[in-house]
Amino acid sequence: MRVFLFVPCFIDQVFPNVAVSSMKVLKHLGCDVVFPEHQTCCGQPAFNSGYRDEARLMAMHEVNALLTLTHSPVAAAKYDFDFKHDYIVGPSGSCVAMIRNFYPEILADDPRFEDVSKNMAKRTYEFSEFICKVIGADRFSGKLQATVSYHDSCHALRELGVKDGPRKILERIEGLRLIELPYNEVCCGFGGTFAVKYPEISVVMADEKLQNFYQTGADILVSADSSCLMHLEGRARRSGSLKRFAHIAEIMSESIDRKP
Amino acid sequence: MTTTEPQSRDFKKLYKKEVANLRLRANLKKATIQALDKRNDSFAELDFDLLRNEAKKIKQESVSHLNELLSQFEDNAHKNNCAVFYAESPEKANAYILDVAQRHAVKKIVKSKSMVTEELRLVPFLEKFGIETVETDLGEYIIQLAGETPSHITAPAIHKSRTEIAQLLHDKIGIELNDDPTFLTGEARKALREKFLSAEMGISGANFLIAENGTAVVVENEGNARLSTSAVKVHVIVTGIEKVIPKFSDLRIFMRLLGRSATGQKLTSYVSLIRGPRRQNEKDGPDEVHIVLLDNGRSALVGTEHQEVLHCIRCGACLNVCPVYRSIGGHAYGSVYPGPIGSLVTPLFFGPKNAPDLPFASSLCGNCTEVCPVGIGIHHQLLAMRHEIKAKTKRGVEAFIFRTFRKTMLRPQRYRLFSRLARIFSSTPIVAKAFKGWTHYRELPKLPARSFREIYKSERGKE
Repeated sequence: MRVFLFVPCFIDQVFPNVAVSSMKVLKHLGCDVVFPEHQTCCGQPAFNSGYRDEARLMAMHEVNALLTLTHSPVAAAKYDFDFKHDYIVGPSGSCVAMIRNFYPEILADDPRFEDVSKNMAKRTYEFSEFICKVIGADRFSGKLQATVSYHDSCHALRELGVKDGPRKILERIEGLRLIELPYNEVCCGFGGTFAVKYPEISVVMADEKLQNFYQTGADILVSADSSCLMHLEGRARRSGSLKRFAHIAEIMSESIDRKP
Repeated sequence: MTTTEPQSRDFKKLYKKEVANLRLRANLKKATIQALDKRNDSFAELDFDLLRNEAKKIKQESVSHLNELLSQFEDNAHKNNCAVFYAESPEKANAYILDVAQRHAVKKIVKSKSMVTEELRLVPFLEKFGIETVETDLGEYIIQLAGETPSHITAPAIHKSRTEIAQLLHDKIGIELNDDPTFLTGEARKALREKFLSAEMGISGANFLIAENGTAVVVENEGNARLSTSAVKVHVIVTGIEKVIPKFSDLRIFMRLLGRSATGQKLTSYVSLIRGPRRQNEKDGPDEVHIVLLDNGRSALVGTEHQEVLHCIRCGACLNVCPVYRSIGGHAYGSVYPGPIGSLVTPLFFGPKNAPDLPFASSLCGNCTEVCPVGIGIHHQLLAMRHEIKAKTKRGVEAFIFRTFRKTMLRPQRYRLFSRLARIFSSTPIVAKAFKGWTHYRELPKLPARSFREIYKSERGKE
């Protein structure tokens, strides 16, 4: 099974280890993983900030770039992506939601992209969701001595319906103990540009989430969205906390290494 | 002159003050969590999604045929001997109500809870003409005594703790200082009973208007609405035109949803079905019933992508569940309608210029949409409003940033250049300053030496 790895721009730039880990885990589970090198940004920051036209242009570029391996996406007439057999998998709930839920909507009025974006949406999965729904969580096992809590990102939870999957995956790791966060469906306050437009509100929400995390006594906060973690970790570091914040792909990757 | 315009243009100033108020935040947290826990418990026995779909269908149907339903309601209300007044604007509604009061030489009005009267700023308007207008809902009464405005749609005094309320009632109506809720309610009831007995006119809202028989439905818990609508000579119902539903039998869906969503009650303590003035064989009830239907921007939404905002039954569940609302409280929004639904309704009713920031004051977490009992896609509506607002602003720093961002992202070679520059400048003060909305409150992540695509390329080179 061939996977086109969707690496959102901030994962590429700020959290490359999340993409490295995703690739490693998917390969470990038997996928043929390729990285379409012309991809950049899905357009979500512009879209959520109200700049729909800019987001549309980025979406058009990203559609071409993600479906193409060999030639420049600008000239793409034929896609390398096989809509019957290949998948697009990304380690970010919110960026996957952009492609899956919003591309078909913002590209609906362009005949070049209308069908492609719809067909692409059907083949696009968030990383943990892909492992649970397509590969099967029971195919995975690992070993890691750690106590973790899981943070549901709002986009994974509400836009994609990802809830039990990541927990099922974490249960497959020997030695790992999962302690649920109180109020685990409440937003952490990141919200994209909301975090810098209304920082005072955003960090009140972060502090609330961090308090709940500290209360569990877990060492690591795991999530399927690095953007929430970047915000929470940035806030935690400011007050001197040494807790670890990790993407679920990183935890899975480490647990494979420890399993003989 | 009393202005009905919201103060939401000052949102940025208002929220900064409120977000720093730790006591407010503690009060809100306690009250909203309690309300949500009760809500969740009360829905446990029902299929929420199923009910919500039915409610949504009825509302879609009603709002799509608003004109027909309103004239059907009006015809039936006339048959029931009610006067119906259709008010385009708050000014027209206020003028009509004042006229009714003056014709009957009214000196005192008892009023039950109604968000539309808040939208009209009706109480200060009537008081300006020397008509004492008393809020009789306990929460509203507290707010009126404090000289404030409600900070929540269904729980107007939610920002106040029990202790603060005890102090307020002690100061204003001279009762003993005691924060026992039963004591406080009892004292307020005594004070209000006097008002009910001496008032000539009552004003209420209506949660639903039933087109097929001209009935107005008032849902409440304290019995004050029942008194305000029946123990007076003249009763004026004030509500929004979007409250009309086709059939009496539709109520069974909304009754199950409204109480549960608002306060976690299976049914509120009182549901009054008001059909008209006292009839010949009846002992009590008003001599006259007037129904004022406010438009104020509502009918203009029919047929637009924001039409579904008119489904709202004002339960307040989206406020309780909203982490932004819980951090800043209702007053920060500068509008009668706060919270997620307020961030939609305020710019839609009063014009986006009066509330340019509200649609952006959300993390788009979608919890509001999840709990909405009538299926409004609240956070997607907020997103659509953002698109409308920004489509009109091509200039400015932010527009420039996103244009540059897009240009960078459309050319992979520019993207790589940007990536290299980011690595060079990431730990300099320029970056910290440019991202001060971030760095003032949080640490920036340390940029790793290589991006994923660089790592990928060099790994592939080795293969």
